[in-house]
Amino acid sequence: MENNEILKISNITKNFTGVRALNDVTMSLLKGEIHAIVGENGAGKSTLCKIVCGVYGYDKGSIIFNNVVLPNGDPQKIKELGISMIPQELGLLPKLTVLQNIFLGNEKGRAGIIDTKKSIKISNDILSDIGIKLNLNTEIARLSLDQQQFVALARVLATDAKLIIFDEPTSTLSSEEANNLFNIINQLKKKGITIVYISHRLEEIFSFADRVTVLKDGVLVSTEIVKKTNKEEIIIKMVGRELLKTFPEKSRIMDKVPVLRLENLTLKNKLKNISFEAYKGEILGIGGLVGMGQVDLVNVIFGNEKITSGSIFLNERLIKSIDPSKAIKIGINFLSSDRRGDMLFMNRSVKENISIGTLKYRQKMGFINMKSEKGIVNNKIKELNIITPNIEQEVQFLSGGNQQKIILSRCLIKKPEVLLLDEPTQGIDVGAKEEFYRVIRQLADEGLTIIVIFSDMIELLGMSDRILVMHEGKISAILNSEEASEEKIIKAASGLKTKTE
Amino acid sequence: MNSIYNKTEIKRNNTKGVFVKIFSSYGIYIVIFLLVLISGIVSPKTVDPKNLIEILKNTSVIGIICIGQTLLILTRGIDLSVGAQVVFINILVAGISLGDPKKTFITILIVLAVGAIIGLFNGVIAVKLKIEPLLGSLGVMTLLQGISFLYTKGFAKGSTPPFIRAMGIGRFFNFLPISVVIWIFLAIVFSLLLSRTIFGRYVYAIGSNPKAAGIAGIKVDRTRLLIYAVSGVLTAIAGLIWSGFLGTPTLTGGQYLPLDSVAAVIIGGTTFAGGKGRIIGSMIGAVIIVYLSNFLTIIGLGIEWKIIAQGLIILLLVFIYVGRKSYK
Repeated sequence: MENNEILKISNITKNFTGVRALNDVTMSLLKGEIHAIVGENGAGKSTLCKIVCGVYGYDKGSIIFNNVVLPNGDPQKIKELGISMIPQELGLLPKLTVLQNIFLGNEKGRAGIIDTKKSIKISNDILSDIGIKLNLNTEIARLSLDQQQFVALARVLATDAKLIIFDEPTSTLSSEEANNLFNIINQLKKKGITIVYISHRLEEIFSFADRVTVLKDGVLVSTEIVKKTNKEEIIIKMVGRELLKTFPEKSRIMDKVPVLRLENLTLKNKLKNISFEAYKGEILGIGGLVGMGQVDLVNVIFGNEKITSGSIFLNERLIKSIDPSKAIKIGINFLSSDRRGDMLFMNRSVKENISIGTLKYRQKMGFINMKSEKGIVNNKIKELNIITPNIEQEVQFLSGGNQQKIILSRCLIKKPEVLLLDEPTQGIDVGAKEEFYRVIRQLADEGLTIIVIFSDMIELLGMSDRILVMHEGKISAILNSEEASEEKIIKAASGLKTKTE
Repeated sequence: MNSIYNKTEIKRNNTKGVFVKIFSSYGIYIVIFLLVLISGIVSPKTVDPKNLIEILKNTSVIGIICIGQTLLILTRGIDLSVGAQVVFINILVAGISLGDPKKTFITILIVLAVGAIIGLFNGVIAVKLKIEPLLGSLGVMTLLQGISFLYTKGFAKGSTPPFIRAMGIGRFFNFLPISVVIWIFLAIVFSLLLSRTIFGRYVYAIGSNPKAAGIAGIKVDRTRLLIYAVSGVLTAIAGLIWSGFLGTPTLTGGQYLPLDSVAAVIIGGTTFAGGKGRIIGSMIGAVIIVYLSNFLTIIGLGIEWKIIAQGLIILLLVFIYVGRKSYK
């Protein structure tokens, strides 16, 4: 073992009932480094980390930590040795206080009686050490997501962790919150703690990681020093081919025929005086920091929430009241970012998932016209290149990208005029993302008006014909794609006036 | 890229758990087959056609109730007041008609309407007031028992008119009980409704993911209320047959119906999580429960053994169904 090597993973192989999740992975971590692990969905990132933590056992290989051979699949023992993971679902108990959560399963005390004084002292030490202020008596449920993450981190630090694994910690955070987290991670690094950082977002990795390891299909492709590589190189390694042009070309002809018009739309405490037009055939991107009313805006247009005041016009006709069923009828459809929670019927078939919602238009005296249904579904499967063994397959067995295409095709069966998309590429892998961009652009070219929320700046700039930036429930800027820049968007998103239209 | 993952995913689904899959899809058929086989060997009297018809006759009331219970459990609801409803309907039949054949039609009409109202009442509690239907319908059960007492003041009067009596004890060609025909007819109608109509698709969608159903344009609350009302009407029909069986109003009985009907639905493969299950499964589940008690009575074992055997079968099948879930 080298001097500053803290963890040595040798030839780890892991099978899940017939599927090889990891194949002969060998890598090492250096003391006090920030080591990023990247790869597409299913590449084996989480599996590898869970093996290190002992959540999963492995089939072959060995792991040595601080010159000690780690037990195979014994999370409690491994935690005691100083390796901890902060999973995506933080695993906090929402009804308990910050203090109770920090020492959950690790209570300080004697003879079963908790030493509250000691606990408070340790907690305060840990929190001030990483520069966080939290009321120890607050219930977890009352904290924001980033604060909850800090609690999860404090809990790990209370166990004297020497190696901390973060599993996509920023997926639910705004960029400001994410920056806070990076600062904290840097402080941990200074204290000599080794960090493993799993992420989809390459920007983050290039801003603060020391080394990056790429996994693909359970195989370690390479480990690079971040300063000596670049994003393109990493993407090629992740995808296994070159992504010459990620985004499809924008449409050049724009007649500016308004399809959807909002006038002084207000939703209590969430949206204030929203007015804008969306044109036929355009992709109108909605940007801003997370939680500034973007999601409320599309929900209001789709009728998921009732507006307090203001009006919505479709093709210059006032829509009096709207609910999802009516919205679909008049040609407005919606894809939520929460596929599993809001869109999919996981234990039902591909066929049913695609045809539901448009069955009304495909019936004879209340009976479903099975033949026509099958035909339409098969068409959509071919059109969007959905990969499934047959249309009776339950959707839970399909990949994220295919699930996303299924709900997209549901929205497209009865051709809408306006399509609302909330983070349509969230949680699908790079290759599938690219395909999705093409599909969205093609739909716009066919004349659909597409209103899409992107929190990823690159996507927002790459896909939108115009960009609407929101700040605290108001529109802070509407930018044309030629004039839009990362800087202008960030300015508008943080509430600085740059109104140009 | 994408296709690689999909192939592995699909392969996992196809090769793994074939045994589990077969058993979880057909487990209930295997159970009833074994039950008939064993009972036939132990006591040939059980599989005598006459006795089999008797078993079906005794299944008709719980069978019809199970149709509604299946719809409810499919959409994450439940109704534990079915026993009290059946008793109340019987009392109502006797009380309204007083045995007068001329009042048959109006009695049936009123009783069906009452069934719909009770169902809707359960529905409003579950759907609009968002009270856990398990608790809500338990409250309605007690409420109905109280109303039954109030209505009769402890002594039920009147009797069942001949036509309704025939619904319970009448037979076509002196062989096939009318009640069985009504039951099987309803079972077929609702099977078709579930598998072939938009209503059926909505039932499965709501059960599978109510939030997604709303976003897909389904009027979720309205559909759920309709299901409760329909279930109430079905229970009222079961009540009419029950009334026909007994011929006189009585304040007792029916106490096994809530748990037996839920057990039959669960044995039949409908999941509490919603969105999965079929009428045919519940019907066979109901037959199994009645068959068991008939068989055990014939070989001279009492009700206690029926309950124990029923418990074991529920556990066995639930174990199999859980296996189906976990391999996913």
